[in-house]
Amino acid sequence: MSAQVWIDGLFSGAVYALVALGLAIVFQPTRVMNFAQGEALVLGAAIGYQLIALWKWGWVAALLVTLLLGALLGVLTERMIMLPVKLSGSRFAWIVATLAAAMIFQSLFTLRYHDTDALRPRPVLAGGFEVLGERIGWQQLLTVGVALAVVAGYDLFLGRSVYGRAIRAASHSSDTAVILGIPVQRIIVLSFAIATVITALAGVLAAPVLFVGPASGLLFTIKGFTAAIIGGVGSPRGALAGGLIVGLLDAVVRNLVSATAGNFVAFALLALILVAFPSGLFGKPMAAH
Amino acid sequence: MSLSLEAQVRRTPLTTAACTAALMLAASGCAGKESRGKPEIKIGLISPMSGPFAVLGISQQHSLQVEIDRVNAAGGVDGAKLRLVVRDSALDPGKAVQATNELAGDDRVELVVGPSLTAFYEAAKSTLERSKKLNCQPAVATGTFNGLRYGFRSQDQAELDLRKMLTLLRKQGVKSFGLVYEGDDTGKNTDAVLKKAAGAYGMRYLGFQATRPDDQSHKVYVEKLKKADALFVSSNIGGAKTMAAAAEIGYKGKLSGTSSGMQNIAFVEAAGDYAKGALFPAPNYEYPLRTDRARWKPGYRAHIEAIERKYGKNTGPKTGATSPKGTAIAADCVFAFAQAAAKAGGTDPGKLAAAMETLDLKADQTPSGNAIKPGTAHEFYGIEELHVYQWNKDARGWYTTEIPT
Repeated sequence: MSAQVWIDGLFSGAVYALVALGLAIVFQPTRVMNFAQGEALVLGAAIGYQLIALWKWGWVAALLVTLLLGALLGVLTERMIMLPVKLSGSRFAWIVATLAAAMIFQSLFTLRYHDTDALRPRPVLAGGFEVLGERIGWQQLLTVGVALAVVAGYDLFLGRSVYGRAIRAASHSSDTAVILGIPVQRIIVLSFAIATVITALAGVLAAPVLFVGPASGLLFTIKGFTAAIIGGVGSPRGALAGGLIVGLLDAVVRNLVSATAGNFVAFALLALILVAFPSGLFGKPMAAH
Repeated sequence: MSLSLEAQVRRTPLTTAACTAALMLAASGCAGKESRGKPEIKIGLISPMSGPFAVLGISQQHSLQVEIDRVNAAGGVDGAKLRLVVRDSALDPGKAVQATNELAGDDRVELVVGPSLTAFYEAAKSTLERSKKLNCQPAVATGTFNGLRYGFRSQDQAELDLRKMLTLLRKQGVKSFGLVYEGDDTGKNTDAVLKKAAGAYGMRYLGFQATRPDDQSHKVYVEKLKKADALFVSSNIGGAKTMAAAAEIGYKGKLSGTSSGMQNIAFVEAAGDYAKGALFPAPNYEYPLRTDRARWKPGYRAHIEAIERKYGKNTGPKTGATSPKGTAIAADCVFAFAQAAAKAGGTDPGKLAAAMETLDLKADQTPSGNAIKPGTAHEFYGIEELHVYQWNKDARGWYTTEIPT
């Protein structure tokens, strides 16, 4: 088996890890699994395509716009999902609300980019280098590096900063957090904004290598969801581990057996892990409830 | 003194005469309308008008409308004007079947174009046959129309496309080839055709790599087929991924599309510069060739220029590649219908279908620029109507060249 398989698996695993991290960040204070998370990745790809490929702006501008629009989309998504969840009172309202948000964003992206199948800008770092005869793209390396840095950064933020501690308190018990004076609503909005920015960043970095279509958000959500469950929902390290496991396993099995088998093995592993570790590999038992 | 209107009418001989005259005039007017013009004939289109494949349905709608306008301006079909009715399948098989049932049950619909896409048509064709509804398919590439009475195809057949490409590749010295394609029904059908045809063309088939929509890269697949002299790739976004992968790992062989789908500028938009040099088979498509329009086939030129006047052209936002906002092979459906109706002397479904089989229309007459000769196979175009084109790019932008076969 070619080392290229491992490189591809590592790269896609890094992208899935960032989607999984976005899912985990929203899940912590809300207990909502946001099925619209993959749309943030499409937003990132769309920003890269629009600004770099069409308007010929630079990467710095694209990254700044990604931060800004990612945060705005996060706030908007929070309203679109949490408002119906609160008003409905149904324990399943989040499923409908998150899927509806995903469908709305997917339709908007499809309407805007109906004339292209792939939102593909030029890379930040073009070209690559060879290691033992295998070519590694600079963009792939950059994406893996950013994924590691973002996961480590969020882990530190969660453990060391005041806001991070507030998020953990709100995720433990929102009622107690309110009594302690923690602005839980603001924490929830902040979580949506951070999660969307991180996933949009994954989109803008991965788009030059991946072929992100305007309607491909749900594909990434499913991969990120699998990674989050395997790693343990709520844990940044679990998101990273889960993402890498899904990416590498899929690439290796796809190469050794077939494309369909790659997905089958990833989901079979998900089922096994849920039986053996209901909270995922890195999750805490309470997250399983 | 005051009288009711009724009383006034009753009492005035002049009014009575005027009313009688008015009634007679109205009656004669209605009778005149009945005798002067027949009720209009509906042409139904079932295609995705929204969602990711909307560009297909909208292009078909434009071409059908332009051809209907032309036929109506020339007096219509058997004295009746044509009117287009459009139903959106929205890439939902349920909606496609529902629309087929509706149009199949409407006596004023004499021709159904679609449902587009093979799987949708497979679900609907028995209804169209049972209802004796003439139908024409400009977006169904696989399967056979042999054995159908009312169904005709106005698209290049997938198998003929592949044979055309294999003929060229053999001529160019290709000894082996492989296939990288979506692992769907079209991919499996293409694999089966290539497997069967390889021996007949004296080439080796190195196998089929089935891809998935969520593949991050196709490098793994291209690596496995790296020794092939040529690779057949999909015309969808998957094909763009394969071309990118081939460039990234330094694949030296030829890259070929399996069908005319690769002529779409959406493909060039997705593949970008990787599309340079890509070969694809297609029926007549003179638009991106850099030949003088005066040399285009007259029917094709008239149709394309009517499309440009009425709807304009598509321009790829990234690549600047252009295409007309229509698909001329859909207009062939209406053109052939009008010719068949004239031959059959009316729109009786049985006579129409029989007349359609015997059509022999010259390439310079038809909107697509292809000769139409359906025969008992119910295929509008034979292999002689297929061409091989190659995508190229220079300082003036994207264009195609025709490769002699």
